[in-house]
Amino acid sequence: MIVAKPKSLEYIKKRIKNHKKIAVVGCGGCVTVRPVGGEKQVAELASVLRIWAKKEGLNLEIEEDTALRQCEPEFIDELSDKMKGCDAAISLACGVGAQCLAERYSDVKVSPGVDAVFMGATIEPGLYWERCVGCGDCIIGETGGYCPVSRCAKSLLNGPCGGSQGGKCEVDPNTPCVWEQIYKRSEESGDRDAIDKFVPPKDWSIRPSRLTLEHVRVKTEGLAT
Amino acid sequence: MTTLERTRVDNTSARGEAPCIAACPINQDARDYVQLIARGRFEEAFRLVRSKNTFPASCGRICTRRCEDACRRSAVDEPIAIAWLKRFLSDKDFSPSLENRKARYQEKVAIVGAGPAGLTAANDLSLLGYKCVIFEELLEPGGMLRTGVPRYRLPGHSLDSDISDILRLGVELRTGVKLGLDITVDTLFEEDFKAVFIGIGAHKSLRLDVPGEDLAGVIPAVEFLRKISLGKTINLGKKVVVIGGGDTALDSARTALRVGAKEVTIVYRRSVEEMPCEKVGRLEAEEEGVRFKFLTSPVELLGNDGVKVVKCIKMELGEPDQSGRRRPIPVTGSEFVMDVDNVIMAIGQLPELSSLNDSGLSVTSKNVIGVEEETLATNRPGVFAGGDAVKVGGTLIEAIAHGRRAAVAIHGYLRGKGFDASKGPTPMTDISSRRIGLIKRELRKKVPILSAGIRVRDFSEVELGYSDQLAMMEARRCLNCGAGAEVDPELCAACLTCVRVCPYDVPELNRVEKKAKIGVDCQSCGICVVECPARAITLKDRYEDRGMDGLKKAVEEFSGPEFGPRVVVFLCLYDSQSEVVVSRLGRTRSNIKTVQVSCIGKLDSTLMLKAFEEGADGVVVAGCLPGECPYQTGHAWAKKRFDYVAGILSDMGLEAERFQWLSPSPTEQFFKEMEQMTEELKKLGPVFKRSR
Repeated sequence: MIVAKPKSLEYIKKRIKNHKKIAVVGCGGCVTVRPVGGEKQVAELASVLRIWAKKEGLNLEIEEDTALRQCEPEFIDELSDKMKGCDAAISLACGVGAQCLAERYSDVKVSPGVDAVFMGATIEPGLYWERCVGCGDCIIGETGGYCPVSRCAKSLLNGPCGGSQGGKCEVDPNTPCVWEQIYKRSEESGDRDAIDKFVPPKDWSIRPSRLTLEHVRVKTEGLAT
Repeated sequence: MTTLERTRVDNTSARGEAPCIAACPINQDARDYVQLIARGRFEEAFRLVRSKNTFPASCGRICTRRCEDACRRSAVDEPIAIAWLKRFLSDKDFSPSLENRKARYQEKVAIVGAGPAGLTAANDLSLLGYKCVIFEELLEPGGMLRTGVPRYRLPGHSLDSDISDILRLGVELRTGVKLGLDITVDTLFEEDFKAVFIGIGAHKSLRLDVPGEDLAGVIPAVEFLRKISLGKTINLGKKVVVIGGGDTALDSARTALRVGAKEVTIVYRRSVEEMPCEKVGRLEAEEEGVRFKFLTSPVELLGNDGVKVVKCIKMELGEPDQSGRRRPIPVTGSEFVMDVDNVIMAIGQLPELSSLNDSGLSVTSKNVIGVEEETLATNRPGVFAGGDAVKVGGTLIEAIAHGRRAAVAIHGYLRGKGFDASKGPTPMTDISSRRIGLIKRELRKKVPILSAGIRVRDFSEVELGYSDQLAMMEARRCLNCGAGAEVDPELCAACLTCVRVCPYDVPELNRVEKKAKIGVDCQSCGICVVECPARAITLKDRYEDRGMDGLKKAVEEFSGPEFGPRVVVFLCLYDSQSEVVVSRLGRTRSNIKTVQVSCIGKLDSTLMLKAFEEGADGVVVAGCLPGECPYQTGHAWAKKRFDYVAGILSDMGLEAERFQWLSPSPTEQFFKEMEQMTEELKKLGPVFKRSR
């Protein structure tokens, strides 16, 4: 899932300062589960902004709403009641959701309220680690289930480097060296592919920025190509 | 260990009624009124009790308390003192909201016997819209509660208050009317009553059938207790022997001590374990000096001018009999004698059925009136019967249940409708044994009682009852079974937050629906409710608002004249100092409003912010003392959320003095800190210009 962190209040205040009516819009997907942009955070941010606006003597009206997923046209449509009359909005979804919102409500000035930082997993509630960069060519089948692209500081495909010390990465002593983990796993499993074979440099050109699944697609014409 | 690695303990179903409610013959809402008491909402609690229970003051004192036997808290330490709490409510002298009803229907109903069954039937029939007339042989209503239960267990004024609340519904009471003499079932129908309920109780003492039973000085227990209760005098000698092992034997023995007997001995043919009486009553009797001779049975009563000697024989216990208790067998050659001045026979009662001769009602082999189990209808159309008259040895709550059931059945009969026999609710499962250790132990609050030396002097009530403070503390022990957290599957994002934060390991992922599910072991700590990012979890408890109503009220009160900086104090209902703080601040500081939350761990970050939004100049979160939290982790979660909100507020540019975490005790320190805060807020001025 996408993991995001809240933007500073300073930033958000700047983005809305000169507006009359704004909406704080959450997303019921990733940012609800990794709680920075669900209904509850929407309520918190809206409340803080109201206090701030009153304190500053601003005449600012604040709406709250949360889409089931802010990256889905049907769910973004459902926000139209609350978005009506708003001249700005703070999206607490990832960049994908925020852009979809901006596209659908083009007359509203949409600003992000969170920064999506990576695709990651919950290690424990409140602690998330990156696990995927979306490279377009997954190799974890050869590396014992560990992704060196996302988990190695240098994204090495033939590790480890000389900075691997006592099983930890030299960049951050709290981060295990993923190549040490890959070695250990291959010794346990007897599958030495990852450590014996040379992996050529990644071909980033095969990574698509647009994806068509013809068997899923409903409309085949009339879409921008 | 990360929470992901936490082992799952066995979970429970989300279904089932709270066991206290399910165990009660009238399904009294014990959990709910206990929860209201915990929140200090006494009058509402009383009205809730009275909505089903016609005898709150009496039940609060002498009920056999199946609810407490079923209480799930027993697995942790001791059951909630439900009866004492009910009695506490009845002592408050609230009047029920039920008023005199004008009869909606033409048909009149006759009720014979003003005991708990008859009075309850009259109560419920009046509420249904029938004119009821009760015929009572004695001059005062109450039945066995009046004549069989001694005043030190049930004071007259308490019984009177229960009865007057029933009579005020427009029930007519005709006393001094004897069934079989002044009225019969036939004459009642002739008088144009369309239905009759017979609740004549069991006022005839059983005989032991030993030689000498008719000697002067031998008194049936029912007669003895009745005379004393009705203020008549009985001259007892110094030495009294009571035969029997039930509550009536105990009542007789303890009453005998109070009317002058010097040496009272209960003679019982089985051992102490088999005694059918209440254990508390036996222990209190022992304290008062009642002696016990177990495994002993009288064989003959001797005396010339009156009973002087009881000849007894020792018993031993053989194989269990039909009742499941071991059968006593006489030990040959073990006879001995006891000197006595009086013998009280308390070996059981039966209904006085001779008054129903020629009524055409069938009588069972157990010498009670035969009725249909569900409807309490007798063999004669329009005639119903209940209470001890149909089931000897019944309890007060059973009599009330009979009255309730009979009222519905009579209504069905008179309206030509059937009787919808609802099968009471099914209780939920026991608390998982592996979860018990996670629940904080807290022993029940004992009701103060008169010391034995003082109480035998007269008929003053032995149990003195709870103070407000004690009652609330006791009520707060309630585990609120079945009223805990609930997930709305429509809203659940299956994020597993609840699964991970629960200190009791209750929520689990429903593997089929892929939604969180919270079972009946939920302790209502509310942490998952607050932490759920999708706001998909609520507490089923309808009295639980997590401070929202309190804040609304506080904010409304702020709109009055200003006496200083406006401050909202959130504090924990469970903290021992909470009430002190609330009442003192309420009395002395009109600018400071308190909002109590049942565990500060239930306080949502958005509520802390809301207080500022609504115009507070300062907000205090007064978490309980570490160690005082009934949920163990509530304090820690509250502090975490406080720090989080403090961070946002500081980012926003709010002064740190405006948002403070204070400990409510020691209270002097707390009030000093509140003073300091007020001074600081005066200097800072309001957060924003207020419109009102």
